Amino acid sequence: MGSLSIRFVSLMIGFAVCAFTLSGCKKDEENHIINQPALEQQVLDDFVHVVAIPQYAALHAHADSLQQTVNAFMQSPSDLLLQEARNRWRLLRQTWEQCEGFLLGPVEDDEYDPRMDTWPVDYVQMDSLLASNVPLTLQTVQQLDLALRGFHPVEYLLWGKDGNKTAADFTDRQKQYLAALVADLEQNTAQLYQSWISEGGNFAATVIQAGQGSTRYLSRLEAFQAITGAVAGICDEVGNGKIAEPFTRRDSLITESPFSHNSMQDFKNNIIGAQQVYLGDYAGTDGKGLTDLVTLHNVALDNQIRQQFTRAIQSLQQVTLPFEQAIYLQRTQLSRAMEALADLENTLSGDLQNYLQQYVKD
Amino acid sequence: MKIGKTYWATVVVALIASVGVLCTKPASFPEADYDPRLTGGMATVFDLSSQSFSHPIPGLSAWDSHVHEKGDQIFEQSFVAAPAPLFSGLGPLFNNVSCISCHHNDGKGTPSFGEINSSMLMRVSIPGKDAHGGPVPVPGLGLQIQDRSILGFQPEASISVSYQDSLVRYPDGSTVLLHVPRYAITQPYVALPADLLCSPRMAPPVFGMGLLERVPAEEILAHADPDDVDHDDIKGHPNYVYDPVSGAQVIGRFGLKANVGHLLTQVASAFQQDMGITNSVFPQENSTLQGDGLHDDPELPDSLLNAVKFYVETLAVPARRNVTDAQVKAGEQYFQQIGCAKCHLPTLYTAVDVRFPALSNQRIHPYTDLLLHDMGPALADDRPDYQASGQEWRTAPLWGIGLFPKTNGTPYYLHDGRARSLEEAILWHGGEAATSKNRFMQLSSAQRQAVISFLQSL
Repeated sequence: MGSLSIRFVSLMIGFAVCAFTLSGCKKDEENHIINQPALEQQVLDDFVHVVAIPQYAALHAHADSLQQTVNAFMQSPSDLLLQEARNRWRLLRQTWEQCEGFLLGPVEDDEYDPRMDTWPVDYVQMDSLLASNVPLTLQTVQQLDLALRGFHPVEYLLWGKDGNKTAADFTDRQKQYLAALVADLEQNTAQLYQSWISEGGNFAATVIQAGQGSTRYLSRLEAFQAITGAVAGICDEVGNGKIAEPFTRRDSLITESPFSHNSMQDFKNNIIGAQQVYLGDYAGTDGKGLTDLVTLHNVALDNQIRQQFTRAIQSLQQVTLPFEQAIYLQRTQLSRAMEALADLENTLSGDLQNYLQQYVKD
Repeated sequence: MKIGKTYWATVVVALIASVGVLCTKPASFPEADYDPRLTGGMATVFDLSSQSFSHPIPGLSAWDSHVHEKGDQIFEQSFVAAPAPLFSGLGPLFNNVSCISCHHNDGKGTPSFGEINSSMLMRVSIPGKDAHGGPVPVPGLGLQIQDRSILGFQPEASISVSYQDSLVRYPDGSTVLLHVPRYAITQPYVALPADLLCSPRMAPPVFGMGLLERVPAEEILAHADPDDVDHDDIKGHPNYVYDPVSGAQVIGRFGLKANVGHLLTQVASAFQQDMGITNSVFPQENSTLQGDGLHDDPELPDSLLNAVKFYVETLAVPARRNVTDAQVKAGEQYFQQIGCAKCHLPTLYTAVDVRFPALSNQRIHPYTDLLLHDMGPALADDRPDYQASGQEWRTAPLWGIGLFPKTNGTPYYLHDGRARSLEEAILWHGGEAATSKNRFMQLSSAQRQAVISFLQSL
């Protein structure tokens, strides 16, 4: 009897342990099965509504405020207003470079990037344009070649070739050209914002409805691959293009923002923009990002990506001189930054893409 | 005795067996064992994003990758007017400022005549043949209208397009509206001749070129049937064109009428004609009447010209998608049955090239025979180009066609982008393709959709 009851009790305990273990396992799996598609959808929603659209809205707001300052400068030119315009140009650049962290959709399809951000500027044609009597209005500027429009001709006019221009140096033609260029930027950023929102071109729906009627992204996986490709693409562009080209050729003429010495800021903001997409965060709003998808099945990979983002941004901050000087004087720091960017890019286009392929099944 | 018999029997059986093995071995790799996704053989990449046409072929050495990267940068670079310290030499007359502005994401352009960054151009000529058998330039305009210029110069003309609808009705009653283009050339720099011949062109994709350049001429000729010996109404003949690099007549492979034989010539002529950038192959500015007055030709260093040629030569082909999908497989069968595959040949082989293993001896699926076919009056440009008549076009490769919505946003098809969907593109087919088009129209709606799904998987 005694031994029987002991056997019975141990049997019951065995069952209980088994049942507990099974239910534990089952619950965990169910959580993943039930939640993952919802989380995937949330990541797409937040990419659109937390990261992309608010940034394009901010981009347009900054272009608008630059235009207001330039118009005020037109009315009564002063060094104070010139400085204010330069500050607003930098703010606009900051947002734009962060938006380059996700170059997909209308910005890519409709060539907003070349229309706003072609460099180096075409001095020869700019000078002959300024010397000519071609009217400098919004309409005529929009008929100009791409290297005569956008951020960098504005930069050239605001700073001058040597970066020390004063309000008194501005000719009437330069002021007219500046105002027309800024109006063109304002219009482009407005259209870009419109192309995403539901009242406009509604590219938002193309992303959000991935796998559910989107003509562009036939599955959520496709949308995630496109987003990841864009994030990896900008890391590659900064490391292998924007930094490597002037660095390898030791040529400060081919840097991105040479008049304002803003190039290093541009690079850092590109990577911050990419990081914001990965995290799903922007301007204090904490959305769901790719990071939340990755932690579901591979916390180590998520840690690696986060660390590599941090290291890439920190290594860019180690470059203390303007880029145009750093390519001659801080080559070690720039080498390290390029290495950090290459590591990040490899992980994003390798491990992260493989992870998505493996775990996003819709 | 007994042992002897067994011995001989064994030897005979062994011999037969070994002969059998030797005979069958070379043919033992069945068609079905090839992975149908590998459109470019070894030179295939798996990416279905907007960047799917922009990857290098696998296995490039560190140096080759560097040259590819360099070519990529120049392909994307906007050029500026001379004299400038960098990327100098744009114009004075041109169509666009960079390669990428027309070949969007290394893919195709959009029908955008008149827009600032148009990816279209208009080839022109007058009747007759030049010394090499090619088209005769228009006095004052040359072989192509440059519709943009740098400041202080005058574009050769403005070009605009308007469309009219044309209704196509299927036997089952459903209808499709085709967009019929009309082109207008206004504000010409010189008076246009009365017998002007025009051919509008939209920029085609640039990937997979290294593979197509390596398809042996014999392989292309093997599919030609200029006299329609097999009586299927499909002829197909190669173009032979003058190549300024080799100074010889060569088989044409590139361009919408197969009017260019080699990649270097294609790239060099795009720089000179489309961007006004002179180079060692074409050292003269593209306009005889409006030179830039600078003695800086060639404007493009050979190192950069060769890097860009190397770049397009080493761009990989995207893999197919959904190859096991039932509808896609059905569509593939209809594609064969109704005769599309007679010109859009699924499979070609490249020659051996020890320099590039990924391009060498590859089994590829470009869906073209690289031959010229009469496509009927509706698609005709009526502008002969070497052996290509005014109704003939080179069979367009279909690889990557399903990714155009990714690389371009809104995709457009055919030589001038007049088709807004794959279905419209099919319905435009005529001439030698009329029978296949009619068979397509006889299919049920579900069967037609299967054909489209198959095309979308390419």
